[in-house]
Amino acid sequence: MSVLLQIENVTKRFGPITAVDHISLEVKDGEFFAILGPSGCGKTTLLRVIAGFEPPDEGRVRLAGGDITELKANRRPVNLMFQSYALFPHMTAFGNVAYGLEMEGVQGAELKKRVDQALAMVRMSEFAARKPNQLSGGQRQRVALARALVKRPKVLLLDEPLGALDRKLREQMQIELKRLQQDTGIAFVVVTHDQEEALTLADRIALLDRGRIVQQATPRELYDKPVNRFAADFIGLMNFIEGTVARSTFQAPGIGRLPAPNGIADGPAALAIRPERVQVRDAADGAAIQGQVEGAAFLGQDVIAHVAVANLPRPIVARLAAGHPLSEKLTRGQQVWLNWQADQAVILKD
Amino acid sequence: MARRTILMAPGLGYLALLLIVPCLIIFAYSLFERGTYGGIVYDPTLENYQRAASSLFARIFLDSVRIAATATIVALLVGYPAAYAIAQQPRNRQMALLVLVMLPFWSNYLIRTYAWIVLLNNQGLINRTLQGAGVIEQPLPLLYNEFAIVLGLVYNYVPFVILALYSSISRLGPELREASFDLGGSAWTTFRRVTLPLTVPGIAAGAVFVFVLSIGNFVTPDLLGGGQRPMLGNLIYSQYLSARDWPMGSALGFILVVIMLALLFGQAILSARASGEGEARIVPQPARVAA
Ligand SMILES: Nc1ncnc2c1ncn2[C@@H]1O[C@H](COP(=O)(O)OP(=O)(O)OP(=O)(O)O)[C@@H](O)[C@H]1O
Ligand SMILES: [Mg+2]
Repeated sequence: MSVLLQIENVTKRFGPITAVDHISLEVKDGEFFAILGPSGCGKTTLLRVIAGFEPPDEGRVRLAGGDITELKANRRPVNLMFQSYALFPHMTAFGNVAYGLEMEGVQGAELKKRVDQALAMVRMSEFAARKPNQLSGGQRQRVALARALVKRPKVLLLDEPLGALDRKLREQMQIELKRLQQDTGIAFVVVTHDQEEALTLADRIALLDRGRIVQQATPRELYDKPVNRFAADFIGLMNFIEGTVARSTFQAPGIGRLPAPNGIADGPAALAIRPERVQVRDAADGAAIQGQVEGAAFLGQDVIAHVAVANLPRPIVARLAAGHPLSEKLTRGQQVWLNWQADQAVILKD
Repeated sequence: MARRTILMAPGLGYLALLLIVPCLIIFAYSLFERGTYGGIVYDPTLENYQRAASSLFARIFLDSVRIAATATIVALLVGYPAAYAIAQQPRNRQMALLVLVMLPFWSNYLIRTYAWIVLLNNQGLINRTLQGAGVIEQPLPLLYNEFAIVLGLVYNYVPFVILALYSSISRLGPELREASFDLGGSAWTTFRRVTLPLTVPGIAAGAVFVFVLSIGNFVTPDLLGGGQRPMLGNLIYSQYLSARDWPMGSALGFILVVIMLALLFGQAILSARASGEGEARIVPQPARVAA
């Protein structure tokens, strides 16, 4: 896959605030790319720079090799789906979808055909004559999607496309979004602050914090190999154990040596381990840590156990998969032994 | 429901006492004859309305409509760009600008109108400046004509137009315009197809305001028009106070009230229809779930 969209060292300031701080990233042809980060980290601003609404203070934006930094928003082969959808309230769903094509000079039968197609694609054909205020949130979202897709942009930018929907509709629309992206082959750049959504949908994710990219990776990499505490904490659940690395082994004060990967420079560090990778046993046989069950919660299938460990400020959280021999037997106060494979832990220096 | 009625009672009482009752009185007067020395002879007749349709009155009526309509259009053309520009400013500056727009109202209507006479007359500031600069030989006829009336009306009512349009435009926010740009629309297309249609309620409110106040105005036609072009307001005024023909004045007044009500009604329908579009109201319906 070749590179389609290139953001090079883009900076955008609003007075004293640097909303986007020297960001570089690449989106490939036909890719589903997610921009993930907490509220106020600059996601919308970055998207607006790409769409052409905010001229960057520094850096370039390139599309298919050409520099589009100076190109006006209405000339960029890029479309933005607004966080609030921004449907034209005085036009029907059909009128909204037709608008962008009319701007290209498409008319008559061709116009009708393409609008009908786009509405069919998002399963909104029967609502073509409705105005936005006669549509539900999910239906508006689909019309907004059709309105952007009908232009066949090179890149479709989506700002929190599912943010306004309730959980159930959200999960259903995630599948729809993915299907649309695969059917059209258009590169999607989706902004979200929902890490689960990013992990489910994206081919690659750029994780942002305070205007900077923390990590740019596949969902798997981001989950397994976070580069710092922020990334480890933002994506999924994570246990952190503070300690030091000395001669390539990780030591936690008051506990001793813990299983960890090799090759980390000496100094203070934190060990991070995912709850589902923590093994829980009721016998010592060579385990690293001993603890006491503080509580266990049943989560539909899995069991989440909180294990208090002497000398650790917070309990270690373990996730026991369905069918685990202990999953139905854990009781409060019970002694358990914890362990994990060295290569499944991550040592974080910052 | 009961509480709503109670809350509306003072407003409704005010309207009934000061608007509906006087209108009914006017209507009643208009159906009687005038006495020889003024006063009213209580003989029911439709003669006043027949006279109102006569060519003399009809001409003044048409003149008034034309002048009021011209003032309305000019006020909209002047007010829209101003309101649009104010709505694009940072929030705190918007308030300051709106206060400036309303500033003339802190002085008396008559004084402001006389100020225009000082500016516009043959020896006035404008004519003397232009003559001094050698642009014109003879003074321009700026005062005591229809131009002066329209100018005076526009000057007086433009601030209201700006307020009405400002509230309509600023409610719109930048997103819909950006969506239009994003879809490839030019600035002009965006204005024509998005901003303008969505600010129709503001335009209608401003237009009705200027038109209704202009057509009934009698001070500006008198002072700036020099009585050359009496308008409906002057006519009513003179029927009551000079001709002492109260029934005729009442008939003309009632016609004016009916016109105003019709315009306000039309405007209310327009803005009610538009407000349904502006707000994100959801019509309840079963959510369609994709198979
Ligand atoms: N037009 C603007 N003027 C001034 N500051 C702005 C402007 N737009 C954004 N900012 C600031 O830039 C920073 C980034 O804002 P941005 O909207 O990009 O965040 P975001 O990641 O999209 O947040 P959210 O998830 O809440 O939508 C914030 O601190 C915000 O206050
Ligand atoms: Mg945002």
